[in-house]
Amino acid sequence: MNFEVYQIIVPIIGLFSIVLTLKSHRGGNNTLFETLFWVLFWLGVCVLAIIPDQITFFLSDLLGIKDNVNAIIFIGLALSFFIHFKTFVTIKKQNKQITDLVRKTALEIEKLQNSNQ
Amino acid sequence: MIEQLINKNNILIIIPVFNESGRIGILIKNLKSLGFQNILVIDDGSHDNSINEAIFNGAIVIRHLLNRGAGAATETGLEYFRKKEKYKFAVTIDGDNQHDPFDIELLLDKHIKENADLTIGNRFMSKENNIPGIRRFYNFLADLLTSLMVLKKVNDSQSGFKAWSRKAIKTIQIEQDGYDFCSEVIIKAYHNKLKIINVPINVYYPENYSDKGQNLNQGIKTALNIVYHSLFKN
Repeated sequence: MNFEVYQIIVPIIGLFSIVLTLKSHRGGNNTLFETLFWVLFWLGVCVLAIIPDQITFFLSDLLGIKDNVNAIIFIGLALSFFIHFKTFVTIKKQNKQITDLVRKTALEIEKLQNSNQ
Repeated sequence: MIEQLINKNNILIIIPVFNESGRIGILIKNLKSLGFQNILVIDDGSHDNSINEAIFNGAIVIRHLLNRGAGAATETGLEYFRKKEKYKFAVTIDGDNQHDPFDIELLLDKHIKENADLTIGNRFMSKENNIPGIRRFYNFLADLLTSLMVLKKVNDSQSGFKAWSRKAIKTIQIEQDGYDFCSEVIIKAYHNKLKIINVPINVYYPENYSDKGQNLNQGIKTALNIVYHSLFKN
C-alpha cells in the first residue's frame, strides 16, 4: 500500500488537534460534549486521509470532484477547519477572561470606595 | 401586605444599565419612594450621564469599565449579592423604565408566599400590555427554543424582571454576556429543579422607545446562542 504525502500530513494535523482538544478539555475550557464533537471530527478527518478511496470515490461520485483535486481540497479544508477551531476557542476564552476581569475590577473598586467612606 | 411578610431592608434591587440617562434617575426615585433603599446599579460602560444620575439619586453604583452586555452586568449584580449576607432576596429590573416599580411588591409577595426560588415578571400574562409585534415575535422564538431545551412550556423567557431567592442566586451562575442570559437562567433553574413561578406585570413601550439591541438581528443571534449553549454548555 503506497501512501501519499497528504495521507501522512493530514493524520498528523488531526492527531495534533485531538491532543490540543483534550488538553483544552483538561484545562476546563471545553465541555465534554464539545470535546467529543471535535475529537470525533478529527478522527473522521484522519480516517478519511488514511483510507480515502472508498470514501472519496463515493464523495467524488456524489459531488463530481475529480480524484487528483481531492487531496488539495481535503488538506485545504482540514487546515481551514483547524485554524477556525483555534480562533473560535481563543476568542471564546478571551471574551470570558475580559468579562471576568471587568467584573473583578468593578467589584474591587466598589469595595475600596466603600471602605474609604 | 408585603410589609408584614418581609423587611424591605433585606431586598436588593439590581439594575443593569447601559446608556439610560434620563430614565435611570426616575426609576431610582420611584423605587425609593416605595421604600426600597438598597438599589444597586451596574453601569455597563455607559457613555452618557447614567452613572452620575444613579449616584445623585443615592444608588450603590458598580461600574464596568467596558461594555460587556446585559448578562455580564446582571451576573456582576448577583456576585455582589452573594457576598452580602444581609440580603435575603434580589429583584432584577430593567433600567429603561419599561417596568412598573409597583409590580415589585406583587412579585415579592407571591415569591415569598409560594416559597419560590425564581419568580418571573411575565409581560404576556396581562392582556393590557401593548407589546410591539416584532418584540412579540422575537419573544415567541426565544420561548419556543427555551421550552424545547427544558421540555416544558416557558412563557416570557426574555423578561428581565425577576425575583430571586438566595438559593437561586447561589445555584445559578450566569455565563452568557448577552441577552441570551435570560434563557440561560431559566434553563439552569429547571435543570437544578428550582421552583419557578410567573406573576403578571405591566410593561410600557413608549412610541419613541429605543429598542436597543433587541432588534430582529439581535433576536436571531440570541436564538442561535441559546441553541449553541444548550448543546455545548448546559
